Amino acid sequence: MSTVTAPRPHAVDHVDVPDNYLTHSRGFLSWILTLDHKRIGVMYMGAVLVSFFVGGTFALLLRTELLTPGRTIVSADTYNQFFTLHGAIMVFLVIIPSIPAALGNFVLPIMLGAKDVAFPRLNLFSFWLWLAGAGFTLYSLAAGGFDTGWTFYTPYSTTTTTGGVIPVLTGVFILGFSSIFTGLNFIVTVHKLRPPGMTWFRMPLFLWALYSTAIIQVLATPVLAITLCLLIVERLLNIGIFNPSMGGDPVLYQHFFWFYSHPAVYIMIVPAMGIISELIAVHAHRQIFGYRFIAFSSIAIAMFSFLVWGHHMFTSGQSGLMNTIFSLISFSVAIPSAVKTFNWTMTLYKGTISLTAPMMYALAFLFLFTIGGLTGIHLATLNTDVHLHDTYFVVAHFHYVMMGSALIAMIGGLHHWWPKMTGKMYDEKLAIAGCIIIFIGFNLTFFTQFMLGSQGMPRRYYDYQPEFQVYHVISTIGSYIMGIGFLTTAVCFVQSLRSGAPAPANPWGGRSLEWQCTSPPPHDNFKTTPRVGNPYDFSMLQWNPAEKGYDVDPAREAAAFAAEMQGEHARGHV
Amino acid sequence: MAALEERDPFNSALSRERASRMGMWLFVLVVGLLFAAALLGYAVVRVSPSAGREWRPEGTTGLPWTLLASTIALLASSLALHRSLVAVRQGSLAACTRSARAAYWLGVAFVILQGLAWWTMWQDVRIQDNLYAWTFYVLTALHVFHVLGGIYALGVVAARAEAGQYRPESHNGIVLCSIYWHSLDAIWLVLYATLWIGSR
Repeated sequence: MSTVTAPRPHAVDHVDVPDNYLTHSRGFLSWILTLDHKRIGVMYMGAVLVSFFVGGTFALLLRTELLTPGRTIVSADTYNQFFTLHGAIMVFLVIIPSIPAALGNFVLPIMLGAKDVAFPRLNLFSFWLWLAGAGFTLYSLAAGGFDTGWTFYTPYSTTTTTGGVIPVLTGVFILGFSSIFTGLNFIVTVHKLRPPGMTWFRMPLFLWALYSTAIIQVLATPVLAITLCLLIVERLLNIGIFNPSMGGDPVLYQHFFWFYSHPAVYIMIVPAMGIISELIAVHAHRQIFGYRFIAFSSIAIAMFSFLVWGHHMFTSGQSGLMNTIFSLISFSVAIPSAVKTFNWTMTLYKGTISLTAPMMYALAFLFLFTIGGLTGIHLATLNTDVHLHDTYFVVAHFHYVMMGSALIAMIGGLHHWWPKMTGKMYDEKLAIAGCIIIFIGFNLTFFTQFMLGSQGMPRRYYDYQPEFQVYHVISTIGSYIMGIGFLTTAVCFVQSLRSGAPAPANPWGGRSLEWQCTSPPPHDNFKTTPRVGNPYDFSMLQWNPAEKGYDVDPAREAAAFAAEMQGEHARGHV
Repeated sequence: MAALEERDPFNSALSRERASRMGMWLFVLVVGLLFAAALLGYAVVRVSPSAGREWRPEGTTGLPWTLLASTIALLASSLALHRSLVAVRQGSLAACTRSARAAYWLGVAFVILQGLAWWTMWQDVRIQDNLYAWTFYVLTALHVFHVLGGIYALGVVAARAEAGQYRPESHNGIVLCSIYWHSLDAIWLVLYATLWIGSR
């Protein structure tokens, strides 16, 4: 799809339309002070990818350290800092902002048919807050690093001598507000700025997912903010409400932390599910199966997310009754997750599947998310969790969900919207090769960790029994393969930026509104208010070989609109 | 197509105004959740003091009376801001300016009275002495921090009222400021009541 052999008549159009959001204005200040949601999204994406590189480097370092029992390359203290940094960077700087802030910012207003988000200045402010938070996190390295684990559990976090604890807590506090303001902006945009015709049930499922995510961001993140705030004061003064020697309660910290951080897991996975709904429907060219079920299951997951935090604390001394209740509610999360998985599978069934890179990532997601989700049931089960708690089984489980699902969906989404963001096509074969290498490396790395964990290898440990070494070696080799896969993908993107063929407006055959504006989109998205229809009705699209993309067959479009209007008249909506 | 353009909420000042109000309500929700979590944490450590420790050790001072005075100042400030909103809706712009200015100075009075309360407490207990003191200082500081933001907003509103920027049909700034300021008022009442019951 990427090779251009004949002069393309469509290329003339690109000269005719010089004004796109990338060329609208120039210079460093025009980016850092921009109010354009597309530029803010692109800047987030760049920043998130840099953080991903840093967090990934720490991952490879700590996997290398675990090649042999005892010391391999660094001391135990340095190793503690490595896994803490890997966790904190990946959670707070990469996965949480990756889909909502980066892809969401770029796509949400265009998909909705709006010219921008509701509060563009607040949106830019969120990005600056992100930069400030990232700056504090970086500064914590200079201030002596931190070895608390990404969860900052008390009393260790208030007593450890590493000097970077307060800077990183401040950084995460600020990142939290960046996330809150992004969520607030999205909720108001979806509620108040939908153009005429864009009813709730004509919204693409990615928007439903971003909307559900935004609700969690707004409701859960304040609790993290106050918790970190109290923790900072406590560490400064050596006294506080988490300090048992003064009558405080360290388990209270765990409750507060997980009241945010369990919903935060859904801040990561729900938008990823939204991306998968788009990828599967568009690249299988088939009306999504069970639209309303998928939409409402996003909302259901958002609601359930607030009721299950106690399953992180089964061994904390929480009462037996609480444990039982949290265990039972945790199982219920499986229902909306399974609803989505079955609906995606049904969409693929009898679809016209194009095995493009985004579709490959979507298939990888289905496979990995199923494993990640089903192993979650072992961990929600109270009695098996007591055995598996704080072992590599947990590490493997959440990597299958956080990385194998959330991050894979993000990379898949990046491929999907790459032509729209940059106006360039990428080398499909190279992208697919990257996807396959990542998939193989990922499973080698983390599937072995299920075995490690079920045999009793605790997480975070520096040293281990020699009988575990074979698994650790396989896992480390897998992580190197994954590193090669990500490098391949990076090469593919750089190559596309340097010499990619110009992208048509609609390279995949999507029907949501972003595929109706040029690639890249103009500064204010739409010259005129777009006409909104069913985002998954692909029947009116036809392949245009001259454009190397899809366009709309006007006769079939008119027929589809007429049929829809008739339906609305019949239901009394007009 | 022209009809579509007109119905696009992006082009309408009214729908922008509605959007800003919804945004402010969501922000108030965020602030409310912040305080709800803080007060819940307070309640947990207050109700279950481990190892039989006294919450407020014998002879330690209770909450200073200046807190009550500051509460009255804050309520009066809210009332003044409401009068300013009513005045601008009725078209009396001079009354609007007067009330907005009063709301601003009553807000400043709240902060001064809170400072006096801190000073009174500080004579007797320091923040590191016990959790009774720690929670008092941290929770009131958290609230005052939000009040300072509100006072800045009140200052902007008063200055804009004075510059004649508000009209009976367009005064969204006062509405947004009111949503935030009245909410801080309500949060303070809950916070004060909780601290008062907790200090018994």
